[in-house]
Amino acid sequence: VTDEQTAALRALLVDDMDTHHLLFARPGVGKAGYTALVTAAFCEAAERRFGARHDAADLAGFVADVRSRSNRLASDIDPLIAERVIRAVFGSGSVGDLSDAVAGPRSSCSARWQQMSILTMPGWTRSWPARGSSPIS
Amino acid sequence: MMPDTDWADAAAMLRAKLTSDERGLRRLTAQVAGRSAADAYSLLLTTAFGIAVRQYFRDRYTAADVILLVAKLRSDPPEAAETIDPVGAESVIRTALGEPNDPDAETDDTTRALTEDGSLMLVIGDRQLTDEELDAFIADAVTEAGKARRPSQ
Repeated sequence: VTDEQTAALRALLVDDMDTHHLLFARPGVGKAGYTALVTAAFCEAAERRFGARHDAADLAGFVADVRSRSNRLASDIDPLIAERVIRAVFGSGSVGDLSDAVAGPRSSCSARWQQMSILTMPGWTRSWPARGSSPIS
Repeated sequence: MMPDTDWADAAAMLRAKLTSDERGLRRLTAQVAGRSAADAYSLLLTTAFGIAVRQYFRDRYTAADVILLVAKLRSDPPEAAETIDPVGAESVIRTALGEPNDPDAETDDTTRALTEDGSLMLVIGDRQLTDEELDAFIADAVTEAGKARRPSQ
């Protein structure tokens, strides 16, 4: 993971999308490395948010909370896919079939997009224990 | 037209359901099995659900309100999160609120039934109606259901 990739993720997490797009668009930023970093950040964030003890209702409630923040999030995030993506962090189920864009009438979003949408939710970090202010700190 | 006795039986079943009188509901269900009162009850449940959510949102709601109602519906019991498809459930509620049916939602029968059933119980339970208010609610539902026609009728 390079400093540029880390900076791009940090910009994403603080909702500085201009900087994020700028850094992400730079040649040689290493898209594969960045993708791995986003996934790692998502896993870390999910573990901090839910811990070891949670049930399906906790995940459903969380995803609903995220989707209720805006009409864009409500339509961008497919709740079943988002719940699957979070469950997979805890070793339950697989998202292997979501690695490419999900074709279908409901969503053209990929698992990656679900991860990014949830990661950038305002207030995502508020409920974390005091290990750090973000998953990349 | 359904006989008045069917509506009376269906109303009694709805009352038993809304007051969580499970024994009474089982007894009534066994009594009407195979009769048109069973159809009347099904129609009455759907109608009561529609009235309940319209009263709950009072014509002012956002997409977020519907999402959060469905989340509440899926949170108890925890297995409900796996049984109820959230997008389908949101579609069922929005359609009951008068929005055009969303053909992309592909609502399955289980989600539809659990959404109608669960939302009705949630919304009416939250209101803590008196006996008189509950009777009035059921009477309104019977009146509205009586005006409805199923495709097979």
